[in-house]
Amino acid sequence: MTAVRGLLRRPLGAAGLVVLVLLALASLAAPAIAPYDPTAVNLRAMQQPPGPEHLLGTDDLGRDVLSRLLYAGRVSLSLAALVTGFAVLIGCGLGALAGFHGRWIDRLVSLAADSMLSVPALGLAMVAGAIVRPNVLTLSVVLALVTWPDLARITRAQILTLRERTYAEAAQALGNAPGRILFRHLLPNALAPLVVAATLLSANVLLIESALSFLGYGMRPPTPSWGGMLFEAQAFYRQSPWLAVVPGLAITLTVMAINLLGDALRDAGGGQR
Amino acid sequence: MPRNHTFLAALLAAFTLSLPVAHAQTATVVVPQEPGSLLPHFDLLSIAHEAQDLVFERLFVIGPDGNYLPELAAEVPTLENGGLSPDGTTYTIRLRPEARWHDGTPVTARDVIFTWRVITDPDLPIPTRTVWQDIDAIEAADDHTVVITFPGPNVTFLGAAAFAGAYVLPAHLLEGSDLNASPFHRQPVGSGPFRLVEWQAGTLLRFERVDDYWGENAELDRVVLRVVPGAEAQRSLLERGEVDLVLQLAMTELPFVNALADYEAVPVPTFANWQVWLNNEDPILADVRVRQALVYAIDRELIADALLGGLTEPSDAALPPSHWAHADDVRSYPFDPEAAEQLLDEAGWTRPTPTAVRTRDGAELEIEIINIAGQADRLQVIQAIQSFWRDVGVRAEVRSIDAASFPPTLGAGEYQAAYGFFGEQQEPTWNLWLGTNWQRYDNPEAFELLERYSVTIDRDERRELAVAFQHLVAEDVPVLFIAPRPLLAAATTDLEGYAPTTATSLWNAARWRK
Amino acid sequence: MPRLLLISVLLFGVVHLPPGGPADVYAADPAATPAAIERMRELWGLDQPLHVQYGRWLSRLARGDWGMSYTERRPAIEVVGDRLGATLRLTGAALLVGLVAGVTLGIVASASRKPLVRHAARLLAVLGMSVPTFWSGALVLLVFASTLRWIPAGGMGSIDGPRTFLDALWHLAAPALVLGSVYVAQWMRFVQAGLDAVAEDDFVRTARSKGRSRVGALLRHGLPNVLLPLVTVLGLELPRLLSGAMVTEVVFTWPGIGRLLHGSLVARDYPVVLGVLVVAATAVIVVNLLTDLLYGALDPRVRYA
Repeated sequence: MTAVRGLLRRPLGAAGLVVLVLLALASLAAPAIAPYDPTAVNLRAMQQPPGPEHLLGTDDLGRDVLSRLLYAGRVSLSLAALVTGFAVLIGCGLGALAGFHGRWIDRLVSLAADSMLSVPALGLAMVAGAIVRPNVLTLSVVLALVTWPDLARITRAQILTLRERTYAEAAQALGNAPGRILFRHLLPNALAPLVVAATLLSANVLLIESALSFLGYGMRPPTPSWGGMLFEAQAFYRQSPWLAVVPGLAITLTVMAINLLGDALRDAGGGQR
Repeated sequence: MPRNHTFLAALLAAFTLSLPVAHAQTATVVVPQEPGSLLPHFDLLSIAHEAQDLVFERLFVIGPDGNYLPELAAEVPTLENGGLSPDGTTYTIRLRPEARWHDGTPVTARDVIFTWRVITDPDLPIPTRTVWQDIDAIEAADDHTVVITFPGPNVTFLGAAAFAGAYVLPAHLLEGSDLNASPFHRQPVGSGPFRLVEWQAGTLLRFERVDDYWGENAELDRVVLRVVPGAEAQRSLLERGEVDLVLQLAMTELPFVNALADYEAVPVPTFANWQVWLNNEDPILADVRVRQALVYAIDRELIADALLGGLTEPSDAALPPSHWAHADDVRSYPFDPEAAEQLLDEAGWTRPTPTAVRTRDGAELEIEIINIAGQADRLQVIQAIQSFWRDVGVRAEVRSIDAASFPPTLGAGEYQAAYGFFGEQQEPTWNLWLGTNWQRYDNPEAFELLERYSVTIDRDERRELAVAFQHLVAEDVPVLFIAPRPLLAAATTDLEGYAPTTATSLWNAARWRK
Repeated sequence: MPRLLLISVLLFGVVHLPPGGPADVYAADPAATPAAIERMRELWGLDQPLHVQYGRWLSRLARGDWGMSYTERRPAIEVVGDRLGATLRLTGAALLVGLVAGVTLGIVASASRKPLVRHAARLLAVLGMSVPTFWSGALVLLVFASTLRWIPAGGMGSIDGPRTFLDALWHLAAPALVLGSVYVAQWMRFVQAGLDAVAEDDFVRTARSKGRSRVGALLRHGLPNVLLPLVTVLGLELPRLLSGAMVTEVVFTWPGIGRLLHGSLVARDYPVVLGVLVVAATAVIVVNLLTDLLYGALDPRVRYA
């Protein structure tokens, strides 16, 4: 709760939160508020500039850009949330195990984390499409597999520090089982920095996904993602600047909002690096 | 502050020096990819052929009008001039006696024989052995005459010898050396009008005119190939007027190039089709009615006009209209969604409601299209196809995989449909059918026609066989032809003599002028 | 050592997992025959089981032989070596841009007591890390190279001009700024937090009471405390640098290993792909090791097995 109050006192973080909530709501409500079917191709109305009929114009296949933007938001945001979820599961799980158990498990987890870190996420995700069918779920698993190490490190470090603290020792002295100590005492106390790390991670995931789409390996059409919209529009930045500006701003705004929120959360109490 | 002034002056100097200096005698050509090797036959990528074309020469080349022209050979062997034996098995090729390698050594029959040996050497990783490996005997009648004998009539040799990569190698420099790891891959010595003088990895290849070239010296002093993979950087170079020619532009760049004052868009001829491979063994696609319906459902005219720049006319024949053996009266499938719906109904795929996806025995009519990732123009056409199919109740999903995964995925038959292009040659190799056959087409009658084709010497008879084959294919629709695929290049209006052919674009760079 | 081994298995596996090999790149060409493609596979040993290929690769790697590039037909180590300098130049410059901008913004934010200034500095830094570089890179080219013509249209140096230091700098500026903007916020946060922490310390107050300016006192006493942990940030950012370079190098025609990795992945040039990844992994390990050692030196409680 102190974190929430702290957040409210930080205008940048609060602004980030508001923007993020608005974006999420708009994406959720896409089917209700999108003026057109985002996949309705019309080769006779290509690249129409923004106007009363199409508020943000049409794209290179005559599809309504506003509608696509809203639906793409669903894809991009849900992907970011899913990846973060998976990464938290893997990263925190392994990190906690490593930090709490120590010894060979610790060494094994660090080994795996360092190894994963040395594989460039983009490169792995590029060839992943040939191995698994790329959809929101498989793509998020792939991205989670390359992004979990940061979370594992933070969790491990937190657990290590907290273990030293007296209340864990006290709990141990009182005869609590190790699992109980981990879940009742250690993890809740490590939560704040993890929330921060996960928030910042989700911002990063959005950027990785868009870079992946830029290289042409992103989500499969006609489900657009914001990065995918930029990829498809790249030949038309000059004739139809709105095709370049709109999705790019959407990505930037969202990532910024998340980053500001994460920063504020960190300042508000999750502050340890 | 004198130091500051010096700094500013130096800064200014750096800026002005870096601005494009007018080199009237240099042609700068932008290529999207770096050639791998300049030792011919090892690299099949078209960009490597363009670079090799400056340094090396072939026996024959294909001219802009599709005719064979002699290059290292003195004339094109025909039945009339006695170069081709009446039974079609023996080619007698006379070489130009004046042809020289860059070191002054004459180009002789020994070089041609050595080239054949390299191409067919089983211990070298060479991807293109077609036709050459069928040669029965290859002999030097004298220093400048090669006699090539095939076991039976052969009609594709000229095409293979004029093929983009079929360069003659210098035997006196390469014989006995290990070509797998030869420095020649990056320091080639050829017989062509230019020589490679500099190769900056990832940046450029610089070629200079050979001043004692055996033929007519090149007009240009230099040709620079600049490797620029990013589309935005390519556009920037064009807008700044820093380059003379950009090869292999995506069709989506056409409006951009058309808007430039100093450049013109040049359609580069090919014998390729944009097409959708259909897996004929797939339970859904095995039914010819479904395949025919899928063609009827697509407005290919509109796709060609709106997305392929209006540069190309859709056709249902396997060989595009620009090919000499094209059949222009095959069964055609004009845009007709009603016919498509009717065929699908007949095939048992029915629509519960007028907008729903069709079903048969509870299963939905869903087709996955494999795409090669990375190119927005492909995705554009696929999404148009997807939308046309949706209108007749066929749901299509797209799966983008990287280029190297494409052939094995299709080869293993682990796909339903796939979008891409296939390019035939001047002398068809029929590799789409006799080689890969990823569509798993199975019509003995059609394959028999192709076999007769390859042993028929008379060109008119060959054309008839090819036409008959195309008629069968148009009935069966094993592959869905979207439209012929011209390539797009942008050339400065200053550049004279640029005349791309179906083989290469730089074949006549010696005759370019600025 | 087990770490290196595991990484090598992982890298090898990831690279060989997708279907299709270097020979298949040619398979769709009308001039290629299936038999010739199959023969290429045999000659390259790609028909062997994966573990055999791995064993061969590892034993050669141990002897310093990275194998021959399939596309360039020369040792992969040469191919990577030709490109490494470009990436070091770009990423080095990007880190420097990020560091200078980040430290500056951090000092400004910490020294200023106006909330508006602090917020503006933070906003600027966060903007930098939130813009997708492929997009900002393309826009930078569009505006500054195509329209205004202030910067070159990519590349590492002029094609025909002399290769001067200034020319190199002029080509480096835009890609380094685009790639470097990503790191500003990280450095800034570190610096600001570090300076804020010492701002109320006695020695800073004393220094101020002796007539030094607030900024001067902060810098003199605060900055040294802050700079050392910056190495940690470097350790955290390094793995992401290669992914970032991959995109920036394609956009700006930079002849580095990021672009090489992209091209070699597409061409399935395994020795080159693995070579780039080995270089990247080694860099990550070395930096991590340095970070750990530094931590050990700073915090005696951290012990090593």
